[in-house]
Amino acid sequence: MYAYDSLDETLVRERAVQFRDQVGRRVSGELSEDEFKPLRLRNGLYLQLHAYMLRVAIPYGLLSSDQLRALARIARRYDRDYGHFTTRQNIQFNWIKLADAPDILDELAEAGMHAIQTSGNCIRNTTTDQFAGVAADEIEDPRPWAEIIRQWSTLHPEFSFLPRKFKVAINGSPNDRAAIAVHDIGLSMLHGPTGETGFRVWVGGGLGRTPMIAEEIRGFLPANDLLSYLEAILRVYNIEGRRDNLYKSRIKILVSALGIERFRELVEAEWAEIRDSSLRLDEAEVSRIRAQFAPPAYEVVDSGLFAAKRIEDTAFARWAARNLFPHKQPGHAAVTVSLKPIGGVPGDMSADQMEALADLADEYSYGEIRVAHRQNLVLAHVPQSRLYDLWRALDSLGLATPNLLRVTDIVACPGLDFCGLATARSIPVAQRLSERLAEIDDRHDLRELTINISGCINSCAHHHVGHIGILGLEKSGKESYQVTLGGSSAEDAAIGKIVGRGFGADEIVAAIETIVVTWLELRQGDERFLDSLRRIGQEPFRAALYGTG
Amino acid sequence: MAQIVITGNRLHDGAVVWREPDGTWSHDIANAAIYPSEAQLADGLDAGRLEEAEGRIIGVYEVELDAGESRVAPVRLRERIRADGPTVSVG
Repeated sequence: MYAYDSLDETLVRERAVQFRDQVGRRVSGELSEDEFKPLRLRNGLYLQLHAYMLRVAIPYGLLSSDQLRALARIARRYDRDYGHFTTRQNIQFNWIKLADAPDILDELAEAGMHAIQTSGNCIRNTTTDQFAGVAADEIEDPRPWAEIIRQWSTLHPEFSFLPRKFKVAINGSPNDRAAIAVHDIGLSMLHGPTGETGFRVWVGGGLGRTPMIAEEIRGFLPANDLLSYLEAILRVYNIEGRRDNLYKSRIKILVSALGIERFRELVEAEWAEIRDSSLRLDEAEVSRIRAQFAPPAYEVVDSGLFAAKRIEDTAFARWAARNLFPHKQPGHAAVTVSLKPIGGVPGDMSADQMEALADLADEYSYGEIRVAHRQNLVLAHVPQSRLYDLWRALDSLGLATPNLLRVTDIVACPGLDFCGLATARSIPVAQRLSERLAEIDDRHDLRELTINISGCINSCAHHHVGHIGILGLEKSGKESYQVTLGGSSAEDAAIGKIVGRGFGADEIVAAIETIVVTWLELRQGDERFLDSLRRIGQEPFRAALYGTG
Repeated sequence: MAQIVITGNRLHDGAVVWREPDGTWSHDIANAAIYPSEAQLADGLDAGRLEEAEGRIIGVYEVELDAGESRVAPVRLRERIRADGPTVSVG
């Protein structure tokens, strides 16, 4: 995995020193809150309902075992013994004291980590497929390109005060596991006519108040032109994007207002000016970065034990069927470590679990951990012969729930229990749904059925692209949950449609159960929920929920 | 006039605090001063904002209490959660 060079190290250490000074000036009264707030946000420090929340960057979701141990130490020393993994492949600590924040940044810097650009109107953490570099269906590993984007975008002076925050996702497979269609810029890797690597470029996707699927701006972009093209898009957005209305300031609004044709013209004109500049990527530099993502020296393994254990132990077989992902290296698998125990808090992980998983990563997966945007973790390089032992170890830690992409693999934001922006709670709804639906999944094998729950219109849990989406709002002083059906963040990306009037906090779990039970009656063969919905439409669900027929 | 209390977050740790009758700040909403008139509320907010300007408290504002409750409890769920803590287990 990518290791910081001296430039990176200097930058994060200097930032920690600067922030210590800024905190000192705030505590002494030299800086007002209005002066200090933009500075703390630039270091990922938010003030939430009960305390400060620190969001730590995990570039493209990739962690070393030592970095996970560092996060565990921070959780134990400065928080309440846990952290919360997010849909942006980052981690948040919910109970931070302002006075401790400089020490935390120092500890992060020591581990090659930071909290820069995890907030503010800048280019945020570039996200990617959690199976990047190992997926059997992959065209090319997108992580070196995500790293190149990280280096280019870090403290980019021109793009530090954009009209609004800006999110890029990159996927290296025809199967989209990075939700590129709902990002400001989505990049999909492909090979050109002569076999050269490039990108299909999408722009103007997003969720929040105005959900939109991105539009294709370029069918093929040669890889060495990546940065100049991104810079052209960002420059047009920075100049033309709205700054007068917070709710209309994302690039999706600009693309929609201008139309993709006109937006493309502006970008192409800008690109023509800068394409042959120093932004063109040098093959030697790309190779240098690519080499840092070289696969580990895989051992030749005998998979006989894996096959035998699947026959012997049905619980292991079920976990293996659900939580393993096909690996390009024969005899290996990528393992999803579920952070969705039945009835648990989605994405939460205790310090003890972090340390234990770091040890397991060293023992079974070359010391590497990935964060998935569905708030799970991944051990990406596990020999099949060792899967049974790993599963037993994960099970003893409460990390082996067999539910990847299933109805209990619920994505949920912190919601009103923690977040200053939230209008309703997310976590308790997720917990009750998980408990109720686990039993139905056991009986009926619901296959792939995703549920995403956001506690406000900002959509941090991506409810618009859940097969079933739930949006928590406050109506007449009470929590009200709006349900959408038919969303997808995959290659068949779609924004879910509202099914009807919202449900109260005491009604929402039963309403979702009604949807699932109704689907089971209408399901043909082993159809997924999404496929059934596309075949039969929303009407049967409306009738079941509201009796409107 | 509705029953009103004054709240904010403490600068050094972000903790939720409620303004007491003597002008100190408490973690417990049960200790909060309840302002019986607009004039007294305005005085309380002015004093709270002075402390905000001095840097001890952040984001001072007023919160309406639920008159139907036997204990001191805000009307809005957001403020109840601020007063009582998360409704889910932590950690």
